[in-house]
Order: sequence, then C-alpha cells, then structure tokens
Amino acid sequence: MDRRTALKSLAITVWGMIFLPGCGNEEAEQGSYLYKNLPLSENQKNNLKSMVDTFLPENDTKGGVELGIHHFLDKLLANCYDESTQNAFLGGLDRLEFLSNEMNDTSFFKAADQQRIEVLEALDKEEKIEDKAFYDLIKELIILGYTSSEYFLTNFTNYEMIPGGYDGCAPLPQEPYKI
Amino acid sequence: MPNLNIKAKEQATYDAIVIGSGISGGWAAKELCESGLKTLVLERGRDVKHIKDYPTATKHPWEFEFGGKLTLENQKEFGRRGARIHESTAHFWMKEGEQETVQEKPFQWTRGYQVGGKSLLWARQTQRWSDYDFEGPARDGYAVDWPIRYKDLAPWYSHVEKFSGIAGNKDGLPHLPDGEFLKPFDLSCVERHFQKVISENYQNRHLIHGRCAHVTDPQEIHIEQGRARCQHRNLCNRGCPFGGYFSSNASTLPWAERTGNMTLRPHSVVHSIIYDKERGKASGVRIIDGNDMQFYEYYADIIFVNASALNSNLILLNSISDRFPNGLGNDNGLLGKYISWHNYRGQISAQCEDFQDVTSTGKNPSHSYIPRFRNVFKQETDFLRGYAVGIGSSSRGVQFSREGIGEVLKQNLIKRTLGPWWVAGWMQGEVIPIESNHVRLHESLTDKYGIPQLVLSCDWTENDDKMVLDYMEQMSEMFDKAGFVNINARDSGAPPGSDIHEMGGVRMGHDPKDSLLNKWNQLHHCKNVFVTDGACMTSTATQNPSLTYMAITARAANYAVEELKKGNL
Repeated sequence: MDRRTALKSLAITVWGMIFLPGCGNEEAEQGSYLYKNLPLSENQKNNLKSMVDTFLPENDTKGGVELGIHHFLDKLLANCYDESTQNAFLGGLDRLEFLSNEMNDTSFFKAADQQRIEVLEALDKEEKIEDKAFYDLIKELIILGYTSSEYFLTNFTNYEMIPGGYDGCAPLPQEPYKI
Repeated sequence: MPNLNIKAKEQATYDAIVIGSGISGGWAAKELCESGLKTLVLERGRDVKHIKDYPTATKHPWEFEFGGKLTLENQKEFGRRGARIHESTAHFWMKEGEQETVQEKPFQWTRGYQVGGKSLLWARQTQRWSDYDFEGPARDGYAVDWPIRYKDLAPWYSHVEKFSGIAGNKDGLPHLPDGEFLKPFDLSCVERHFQKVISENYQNRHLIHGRCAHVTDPQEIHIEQGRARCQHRNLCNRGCPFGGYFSSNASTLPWAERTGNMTLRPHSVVHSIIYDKERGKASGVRIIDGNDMQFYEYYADIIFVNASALNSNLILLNSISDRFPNGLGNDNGLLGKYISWHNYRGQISAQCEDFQDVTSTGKNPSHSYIPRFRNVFKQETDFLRGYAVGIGSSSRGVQFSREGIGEVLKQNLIKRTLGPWWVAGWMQGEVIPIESNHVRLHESLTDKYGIPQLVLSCDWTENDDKMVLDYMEQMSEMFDKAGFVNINARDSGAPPGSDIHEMGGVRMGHDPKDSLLNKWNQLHHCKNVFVTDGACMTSTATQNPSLTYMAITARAANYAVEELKKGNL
C-alpha cells in the first residue's frame, strides 16, 4: 500500500469511528457466531488481546480485556471496514510481532509488561506511514471501545439514558469525574 | 420494469386522498378524517408504527452490535453517505437507488421514505411567520404577492400549536408572533449572558428561547394522544417512545386512525393524478405498489398533495393529460419554477471562558434563537431580506488526554475535566425565489418505478453570498461584544438543499397567470387538488417552515370539507 492510500483509508476509518462503539464479552461471543471475524492466526489473536491489555491493563479498575475490547475490535474491523483497511491492520499486527522479536526475542504477547510498552512506543515512533497509522488506529479504537463501554459510562461519567430535565446553570458536580 | 397493465379491478373510492404521511400529510389526514371524510393516505415507504417500529429508541451506546457503525453491506445500501450513517437512525433514511435524480447543479435532497416521513427526523423548531414575512415579496419586489396574510393563518397556527405541543416563551416581538406556548426549555448561563449583551448593544436584536415542538408540560390534548412530557434524552431521531416531540407517527396519524375514517396504504409510490376532462377536475390517483410493482388507481372527490416539496412538483409535472400536457394545472408554464430553500451556509463557533464555576446537567433538546434583524421594518442593506440565527450553547466541553500507554492512559481517560462553554451559531437565511431555480422531468431517464427522474437545477445568487458575508460580520461582532473567544466565522459552501427546507414550484398567488395555487391552496385550474406542503410556498422567510405547513394544511383541509359539503368540489 502506498503512503497516500494508507493515509486515506485510515483517515476514513478513524473518522468513521466517531460514533460510539460498544462492547462486552457476552455480546462479542454471541456476535462471533452471527458475524464475520478477521482471519487471525492464534499468534495474532494473542497479540491483539495483549495489545488491548497493554494499553488498558486491569488493576483496581477493569481493563480492556475484561471489557472484551479485543473481541469488539475484531468484529468491528471484520464487518464494517473494507478489505484494504483489514489488510493494513493484519500487516500492522505482523509489524508488531516483528518488532517484538527484534527487540525482545519473543512474541509480543509473551513479553514482559515493560517490554510490551516499549514495543508499542517503538511502533508509535515508526517512520513508515502504515506502521504509525496502525498504531494510531488501534489506539483510537481501544479508547473509543473503552470510553463507550457500559462500565466506563456508568462508573466514570454522568451518563443517563433518561435525564428527565435540563439545567443550564448548575453547580459543578461533587465527584469531579462525573461529567 | 413495472407491469404497465392497470389493474382496473383493484379500484377503490374514498372521499379524500392524501398523498404523503409526513408533517403536512399527517395534518391533512387528521383534519379530513375528523370531519368525517373517508380518507386514503398514500405513503411511498413502509409503515412505521409509533413506538413499536422504533427499534433503537432505548438502546444504550454499548448495545449497538458495531458501536453504531453499519456493516459494509449495509453501508453500501446508502451509497456515499454509508460510512456516516449511524445504526440508530439508518432505518429512517432513504436507500440509494430508491429514487434517482439528475443534478444539473449540485443539490442535496434529503428524503425519509416511510410513514411519518421526515417528521421523525426533523429539528422540531417552530416559529410563526408575521406580516413582515408575508408582505416581503410585495414590498421588496420579488416572486409574487402572497394571497394570504398573518390574520388568515393566525387561528390555524393556534389550532396546530395546541395539538402539537409547542414549547416557547412569549417574547412580544412584532416580527415573530407569540403562539400557544408550553413552558420553554431553560437557557444556559452563557445564553442568558448573550441575551443581555445583545439587548444592551442593539435595538431590534433579541435572543429568545427556541420555540420547538416538544411537550414540556402535557395538556389534556397531549395525554389523549398518549404523549408524555419530553424526557430530555436528545435521541429524537430514533423515534421517541414518550411521544415527547411532535411527529405524524406519535400524533396526527393515530388520531386520524382513531376516527375509523383513515385507510393508510404504505408502499404506494404515486405516479400521477388522474384528470377527468368531462368533469373538469381530478378523479383520483395512480400509484405503483412498491412491492408488486403493479399500477393501481384510487378515486376521491378531493386530493391533497403532501408528498414533500420536490415530490409534489414531480407528481404534478408527471400528471399529463390532453387538457394539461405540461403537468396538472400548469397552464402558465411556471410549475417547478421559483424553487427556493434556506441559506444555512453561514456558520460561527467560539468559546466562552467565563462561567467556570457552573455547568449544565441533563440535556437540552432545543437551543436559543435570534429572530431576523436585517431589513425587517425597512430596507437597510445592499442585499434583500435577512436571516435568523440558531444559537447553541447548552453545555461545556469535556476535555481529556489521550496520551500514554497502560495505567497512565487509563487515568487520563477517567480524569476528565470541564473545558470552556462552546457557542455555535448557524444562519437561517431567506433565499429569494427566482425563475431559473427550477426542477423539471428528465426527457428520457426514469427511476426504478418507471417514473421520470427529476432534474434539479438550483443555484445560489449574489444576494445569498452577500447575506453570508453580512452574517459572518454581524455575528463576529456580537460574539466579540459578548466576550467570546476563538471566534471562527465561515461560509460552509454547502450546496442548495442542505438545509432540508426546499420550497416552492407550485406557489400560491392571486392570479392564475403567475401562480399555480389560490389562497386556499387549490390549483387554480383544478380546484379539487390542494397542495399544502413546502411546494406551495411563494417565498421562504427565515422561520423553520414545518409549523407553517401544518397551519396552511389544516386551514385548507377545513376549507375543502366546507366546499365539498356545499357541493362546490
């Protein structure tokens, strides 16, 4: 893929994702019977899951893997994006694996926490447009998956399906993150 | 290709036929059915029953299979727009290939082909016209004089407002008459501040509460319709399970159905109106069934054309007979001409860095509004007419950093902060109808039903360009006086039609020589055909047009019933 095509397809991709994606383990697993999945090898599956875990690890709050964001990304890319974007994504996963082997002599998902962060940082600094674009896309989709999950919206924002009213001049909320 | 054999046996006769079930068609259906007329409502799209057919109405963001994005397959059904259409409202958009057109000049024609039409998707802003609008063409010498004045429509505005439920504040402005209002939505602190700045700095400029078709305080008449108070969900375009805003589906159509007089026929693509030369009037409507692609004919004493402005033009243009070789009622050749719309090209955005100790809670489904202030009482500028301005500043921006990997990133996403208030303004300019802005039938190209394709030939004029420049200047000055920062005024350059307020082509007037409809919306030359959607508009004014279509429709329908009873139709 040349630089211009890569830029164009990923620009469309990211722009198309301004809509709120949702995710959840149950849904993702049901969905996998109804919808297409990416043709991922075991190794690529592990690396995708491991990327989600590295960007959003589990600790005192839920992480990306527990929220099923890796399933969501697979399903979303396989069903809603064109073949060139899917291929660019698969190419990106290969580049990730290559970098990990080069830097740490091991598959990405087998590397230690700090090593995985370093591989992602290296990917972020890639000069080749496709590799940098892959990093930006997956990070964007992970952020969107997380910030629109039920867990995030109901725990860390003031999300309400039925607000019932509107006050255009209200005091600041007591819990600062509930905005 | 549709089968061209007319199925004569399928004929059916009614008192009245209404073509279209959107905002104006719904009103025609309600008024005619309530008057006891057996009424057939023809809708080209599928049926959409209130609540039952709003599949996404209560879905949380995380409940959409692909986060709201359509699958590639579904995206293709919507053509170029596919990647931008959200799953939550996709079912209310016209699919690519349903009705092809020829764009001689760029025109964005938005269509919602289902029962309820665009009344499910509209922006719900509803302001009355005043005589400063109705007298515009006569005073400023464009189009033709309106055959009606505010006093003719005022009782009908009241009639439709009471039933629909309009939230608003009585502002006492001569050029934006007050209506039958339920309590308005709150203004934000920034809007209140801007309101004060405007009143202190300008004569005849006002910022008021948006007037909108939301039930903020349900009255008996709304409860009877099964509608409840607006719940501020701001998910209106999915269909509202509370009936919080006015749509044909929630309001007029169920009301008409309850009379027992309405027959609703979805999947009915109107081909033409049938003219009976002997009797000198229309005898019925010829449709193509969208499922079996067969022709059917229906007959009635009166026909209401409410197919949406451009489709009403298309139907009349395609209603060819010996008597009317150029389209029904088109003796003067003006059918399809003087198409007009609203100029939304002017945009402005800014931030307000004051009011940092407060924020907003809940959601505001409306916004505030600055009625037209240019050339209202006399001509003042080097362009004709003027613009109203929608102002939105209902909440503060939320900021967060996307930096980092791991726990750093997670904390950045959780620890968001409130940013400045956003302020946006959008222009709603009057576009002067001119003869060269027109639609016509293509000589040879047809759509999938075999109906001629509509050629759209509409363009901006110098008057529109000048108005956009004035909007950007004036709004920048007003924003500056209010202390807003990062002011960005621009011309979107959007093509005509992007406003979804297309009007005209079958204009009302005094004289059959230069208009198609009389003051009761009857075709001058075929009195039992009434056109009461956007197509009838002689000029556009600056108000959001739907409320005026509703009032004009209710007025014409009641007149039609009277005339029918007198034996005049």
